[in-house]
Formats: sequence, structure tokens, C-alpha cells
Amino acid sequence: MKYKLFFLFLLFSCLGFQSSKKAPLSARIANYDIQVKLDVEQKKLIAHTKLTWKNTSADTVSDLQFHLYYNAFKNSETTFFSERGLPSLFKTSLQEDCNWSWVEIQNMTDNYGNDLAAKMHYIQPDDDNKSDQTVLRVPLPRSVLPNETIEVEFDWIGKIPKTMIRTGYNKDFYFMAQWYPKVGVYEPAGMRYAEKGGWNCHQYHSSGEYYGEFGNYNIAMTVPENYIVGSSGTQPNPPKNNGDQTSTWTFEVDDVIDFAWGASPHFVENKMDWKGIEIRLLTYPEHVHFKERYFSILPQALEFFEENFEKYPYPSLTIIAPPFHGLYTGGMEYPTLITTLNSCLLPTGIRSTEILTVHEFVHQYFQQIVATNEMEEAWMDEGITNFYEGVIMDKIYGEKSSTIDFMGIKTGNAESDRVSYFNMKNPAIAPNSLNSWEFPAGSYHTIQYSKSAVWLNTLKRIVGEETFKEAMKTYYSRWKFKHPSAKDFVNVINEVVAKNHPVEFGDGMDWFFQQVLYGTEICDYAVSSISNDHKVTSSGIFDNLDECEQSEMAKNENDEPIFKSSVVVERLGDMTMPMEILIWFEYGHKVVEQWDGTATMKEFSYEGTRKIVCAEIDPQHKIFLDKNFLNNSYTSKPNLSGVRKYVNEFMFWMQNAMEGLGVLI
Amino acid sequence: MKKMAIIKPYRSGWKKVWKNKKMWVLLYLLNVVFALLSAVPFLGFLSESVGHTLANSKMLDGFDYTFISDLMREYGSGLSVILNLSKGIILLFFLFSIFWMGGILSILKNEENDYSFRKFWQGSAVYFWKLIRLTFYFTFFQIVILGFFAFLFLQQGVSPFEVESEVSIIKSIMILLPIYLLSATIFFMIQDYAKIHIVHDETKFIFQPIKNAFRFVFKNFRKCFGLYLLNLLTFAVFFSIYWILSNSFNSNSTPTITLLFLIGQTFIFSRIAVKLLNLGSAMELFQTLKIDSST
Repeated sequence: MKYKLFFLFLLFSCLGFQSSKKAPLSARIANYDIQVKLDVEQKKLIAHTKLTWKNTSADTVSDLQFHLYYNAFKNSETTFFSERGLPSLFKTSLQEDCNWSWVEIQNMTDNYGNDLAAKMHYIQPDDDNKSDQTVLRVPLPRSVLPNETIEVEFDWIGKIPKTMIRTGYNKDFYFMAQWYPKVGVYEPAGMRYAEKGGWNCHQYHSSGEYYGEFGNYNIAMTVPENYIVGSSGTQPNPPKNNGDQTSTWTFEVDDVIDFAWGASPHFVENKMDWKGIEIRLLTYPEHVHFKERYFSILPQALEFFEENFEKYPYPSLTIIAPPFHGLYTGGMEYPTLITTLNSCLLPTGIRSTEILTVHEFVHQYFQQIVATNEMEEAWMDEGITNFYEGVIMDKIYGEKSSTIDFMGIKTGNAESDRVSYFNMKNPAIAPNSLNSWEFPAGSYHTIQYSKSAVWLNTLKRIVGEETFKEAMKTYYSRWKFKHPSAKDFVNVINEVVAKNHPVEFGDGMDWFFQQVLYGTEICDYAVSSISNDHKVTSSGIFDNLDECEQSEMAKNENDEPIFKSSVVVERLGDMTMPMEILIWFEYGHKVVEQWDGTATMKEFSYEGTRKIVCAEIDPQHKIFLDKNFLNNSYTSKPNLSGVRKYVNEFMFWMQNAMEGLGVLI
Repeated sequence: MKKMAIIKPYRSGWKKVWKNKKMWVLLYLLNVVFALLSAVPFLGFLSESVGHTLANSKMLDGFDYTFISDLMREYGSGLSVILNLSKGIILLFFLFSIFWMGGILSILKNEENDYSFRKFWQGSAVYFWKLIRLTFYFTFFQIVILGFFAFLFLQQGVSPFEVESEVSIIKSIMILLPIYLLSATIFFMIQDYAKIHIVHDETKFIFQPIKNAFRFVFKNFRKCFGLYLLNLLTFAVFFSIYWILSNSFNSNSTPTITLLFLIGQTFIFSRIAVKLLNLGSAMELFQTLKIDSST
């Protein structure tokens, strides 16, 4: 009995110990301790970083590579501005006011006391643009052996950009993203597409965002004492007043790939608790009334992910709603921190606040937790995120009104993705599989966000909602706190789909991914015609040369005329999809045909006493990727009720326009 | 007394509308005929493009983003031809409306005689060139007013990077928009009296009537503006009735579509009546005040 009590005591002690120190969720490879001072007079960050980097590979690593994102805004010749051109909104600020920004490492040593700064130099792994200084290579005098950890310390200064994309300051609003020298991701052979070990540390391009390594962050920000700080992570202690009109705010967060923060003297703070998770909202005073909208939509998104994946694994989530003059930082995602957009100019029925909140929250799972490489495979976070944004928004606000429901104009989220994709000048301009910076002008966003969401929606409908849900959950569970590639995603989908549908999709879905992910094919099927002709008996001269048989209408035993009917369906696009075709005959009789969709044309013929009334391709609307829904069905007789309604409305507005212009007379 | 000064021409305006109901019907029919010039090709276009698809049932549900987007994308070239045609028809109707304006005012000017077909077309021809110039000048005034207020608005700052918050933009709109609308309305009103001056006094040139109209309106501002507001209110009442009726049911079947059509046409018919009411009542006020001042 005593022994049992002793063991019980030991067990509870261990449990107690474990619960007080949460087990690592990730490999915690890149860990940061940063003390940073925000100089609001000079618009600079003055900081000291201690980076602890763990070599979890079997390689001996002889250098480190850092992203210096702020150098993208250093001059007009950087890769970022070469690809994008100087945005007209920022031209004055940059060219006339010289608000270029930069980050400079002033010294660097490792834990053996070696000076690393002497040999560090900029590299341009993507485009060899020598004016670009967004990647810094630091050769190590003493290489990092497998399973060894290196500590690197350095002082650095960052000039904060003014009104720049995603980050910067305007007036006294500061949003610090991509603000610190950040180590790249070391990919050993076999990880993602790596054939040999090496750093994956791309330059900062105009399109595409980040790829980060997991680690723990302990950040102390010193800001003017009247400033309020919103940040990734949680505060172990309240802000400390330094007695020199500054205060220091400390935030900690574990198992994340990045860290961002914002500060302003005008922030109004609101908090809510959702199942033990602290949701902190920082808005400007004029936007306080948006609080209910955030605190209504976010718990619903959290619930959705708990139900479909797993509970949000961090203790906090911070929302920064930038002011109007800080719009450029809105709609971004960072670990445990998102920025949104709200504007008193927009009516409630235009749901941009909700959409952005959901979208950036979904990124917590698909980019922050399942940490894909957005520079190389942006669809894996933006596409999947856009898809789930649509699922959540459509579920909450309705499929036809989740984006806009204002003055009779209604648009749904998922349908907006489809419209956006097909309304491109050339929807076949690029496959999803390109690197972010390789997309032809203007196509990155629509292809990576919208097209991906559309084909994911199609995939869900083809394999069935339950199978899709299981596949995505498996993908998430297998790759959370890791760095999967597209092939890892495809492998999981193939595995689950083949298991659940061995007959239909026993070979997996490669045929699908080859077209939608790696190809540029467009899907468009059409019912092109229906015919119903009376069957006639044979005519002419047969056995008896003296007898000419006349043709007459063929009838069955009940003296009913027999029809030869047919439906012609066509494949107008390059993409092939198997599908059902529903054919309606008179008196409600229906036939469902299967078609593999590979031929350019297929005719279905029938003989009977009932005429074909109409035919419809894909009656269950699985192929969301079809470019034109209007030609997916055909009725033998015109159906003009809807047409009359539109003509009626058109005529009415025409009459009003004519009379309305008359006020000028 | 002041109330009566507005109500009397208002009632008289309605009497003129009723007395000249043939002209009212004629103007409505002309509107219908011009609208049909683009509605008929639109019917043909829709019948051809979506007349055989099941998807057109979505048209019955009202605004459907997917349907409209697919239609515009896949058959947009045909649609753009019709939209361009419609723009041309609206412009043509505008020119004809200037033409008819002379006829309308000639009829309304004369208290004793009923509508006469001959007089209408004669008046239309006689005043056309003067009215077209008047329209040009007042359109120019309206553009200047709009430009002036747009300038004032932009001066407040609208760049998201410069303004403190969008609240300052909203405040600008809330202050400037009513003033702009008031200014524009006054100029529309002055234009009405300038037209009346041209037809009533049969002036040779148009600058004198414009000057007289300004003088007349500002001299009798409360009466003119009160009457104008009353006419606008009448239009608002008709529009509200139309809005309530047309939104009280879902037009998704042939009978309800027909009902919606009839409600819409009744509104257009009433809208033309309000146009005649506005001109008729203003003519009455003008004639009354002119007689008062001459005696």
C-alpha cells in the first residue's frame, strides 16, 4: 500500500512537472533572444540578438544564412523593387523624402568567441542581382556538427520603412514585420526537394512571403512609455517602466516560425477568452465598435479548426487592426498575431473585416504550424488558406452572401474565387507549381490564391466531403510543426483517397494534380445539342424488285411513335474530368450516364417513346473548376422565364436612365 | 399665405398634367419605344445565349454572381454590343427630350387650350436650338459645381497615408455632400425657370432668360425652392411606393414577373407625370408672380 502511494505521488509529481513545462511541439531549431529599442525620433530599431541554432541534420554545417528583409527597401535596384517597380503610392516617400530603409549587422560572434562579421557577405541565390542585400551569408570558422548547437550574438540597427508593404511606420503607428535578421531554413538531403544539404534562404521578392524555421522567441521591446505594444506570444510580466520615459515590454512564444509586433500610443485594447486562449484586440479609437465583429467571427473560426483539425495550440492570439494611415500593414499573418483591415467607410454587408480575420487566422494552421515554403510553393498556404476561408465564411454567412450582402448585391466567398480565377485575361498563364517570383506579371495572386481554392473545392466534391476532411486532417497531423512540400501533400491525399475509394480512385489522384497543380489546363464541358427525331421504317427496294417500300413513322405495340434521341456533349477545354451526365426524358424519366471526359465529343443515343427534355453535365456540381456553368445543361425547348425577368429589369433601368438624364435639360 | 403660394401652383400643376394627359401618354410611349430599341436585342441575346440552359433558372432568384459573371465572361462580346447600343439610345433620347421640352412647355404655357398634336411638335421645333444651348450651359455649370466640391473634398485629404483616419473623410463627405446637393438642386431649378422664360417670353437670345431666371429665383427663392422640394417629395413618394411594392414579393414566376413589369411601368408613367408636374407648377408660379409684379 505504501509503495502504491509512493508511486502515485511520483506519477502526479511527474505529471505536475510536465504540465508546468509544456513539451516542445516542434524541433525548436532557431531560437531568438532579442532586446530591441524603438527609436521613434530616428525611426530606427537598435537591437541585440542572441540566436541559438541547432543542427538537427546529419550534415556538418559550415555557414549560416540570414534574411535581411529591410534591405529590400534600400534602393530602387533591389530585387523587390526591380520586380515590382516603385509603387506609385510610395514614390514620393522614397524618392523625394529619401525614406529608404535598411538593416545592418554591426558585429557578430559565436559562442567560441570567433568574430563572424569579418567574412560575412551578401549573396543572391535567386537572381544574382548584386544590388540586392536581402540574404547575408556568414561563414563559420568552426562548423556546426550534427546535433550540435551554435550560439551567435550580434548588434544590429534597422531603419524602419515608411508606409511600406506589410511593415513600417506612419505617423505614430508602427508595425514591425520582417524586422530582424532571421536565419533561413537548413534543408538536409531528402527534406522537401533537397538532393543535398543546404540553406533555403531566398531573396525578398515582390511576390511571395516567407519560409521560416521553428523556434522559441524571447523578445524585449523598449518603446516610449505611452506606447502600447501588441505582439506575437504572451507577456510573462507586465511592462517595466525604465524611468527614462521608456518602458520595456517582454513577450515569449514557443514553437513558431516568426515573430512580429506593433506599437502605438493610440491602441485601445480589448480582450476575450476562448477555451483558455487569450484573444487580444488592439484597435484605434475610431474602430472600437468593430470589436463585436472580431469577437464574433474569430471564435467561430477557432471552433471550426478544433472540430476539423485540432485545437489552436498556442495560449494567445493577437489581432492588430491598423488605423487608416496604416492600411498597408493590414491583412497579414504572423505566428499568434494577425493584422486585419477595417474601415468606417465600409458598410457591414461588405465583410472584408470578417474575411481577413478568418483568412489570417487560417494561416496560423497553414503556414505557421504546417510551415510550407511560400517562396516556392505559395499555393500550399495561400491556396489552402483561401479555400478554408471560403468554407468558413460560406458556412457562417451563406454560400451566396458571405463576401458581400449589400443593397441586393450578394456574392459568396468560394464563388468569388472561381470568378476571380476565370476572369483572368489568361487563366492558363501559369501552373501553381512555379516559384513565387516566376509568375508572369499580375498572375501570382489569382493563381496561387483563387485557382488553388477552386481546385481544392473541386477535389473535395470529387472525393467526397468526409474523405477530403480525413485527408486534410491526416496531412495536418503528419506535417504539423514541419516543412512539407507539394509532393507530401499529394502523397497524403492519394493515400487517403485510395483507401476510401479503392474502386473509383484506387490509383490515387495524380491524374488530377497533374492537371490542376502542375498544369495549366482549363476545364470546360458543354452539352452542345439535343435531338429528338421520329424513327421511320426502312424505305426503298429490298427483296422484291417490283415493290418499293415507303417509309413511315415507326410505332411500338401500343401504337406510340418511337423517337431516336441523342445528346451530344463536348470537351471544350484541355482538362479531362470524369463525370456524370443526367438526361431527362418526358414524363420525368431520368438516365444517368458516366463519361470519362477524355474524348472531345461524345454522343449518347436512345430509342424509345419518350423524347429527351434536357441534359445536364455534372448534375451534382462537383466540378467547380468548370469555366462555364451556363453551357453545362441544355433544354430541348427554350426556358425563358428567367430571361423575361432580366429583360424586364433591363428595360426598366433603361427607361429610368433615359428619364434620369433628362434632369440635365 | 405662403403655404398657399406653393400649394396653388402645385395643384395647378397636377391639373395641367391631367388636362394634357394625351401628352403624358405620348411621352410615356416614346420612352417605351426607345427602351424597346435596346430591350428587344437584349431579349434576343439572352434567348440565344442562355435560353436553353437550366442555369437561367438562377435568374429568377435575383442577383446571382456566378451566373452573371459566367454570362459576362462567356458571352460578353454580344452583351457589350447591346450595352453600347443602349448608351447610344440613351444619348439619342436625351437629344429628343431636349426637342420635346419646347413642345411640353408650349403646351403648359397656354392655360386655355388643350393639348394639340400640332402645337406640341411646332413648339418642339421652334425652341430646340435655344434649349439645346441652354442645356449645354447648365451642364457646364453643373460640372463646375461638381468640380468645385470635388476640389474642396480632395483638399481635405483622402490619401490613406496622409489622413489621420477615415473619420475625417466621412466628416468631409457629411458636410460637403448636402451643400453640393443643395447647390446642384438650385441650379437645376434655375434651369427650369430659364426654360420657362425662353418659351413664355419667346426671347430671341438665351442669356437674358438665364439672367432673368437667376433674378426670378433668388427674388422668390422661398416659393420657388418650396415648390421644387414639394415636387421632389412627390417623386420620392412615387419611388417609395414603387420600392415597397416591387420588394414585397419575389418575382420568380410568369405572373409575378408580369406584375413586376406592370409596377415598373406604372412608376415610369408616374415619373413622367412628376416631370410634367414640375414644369407645369413652375410655369404656374412664374405666371402668377409675373402678373403680381406687373400689377
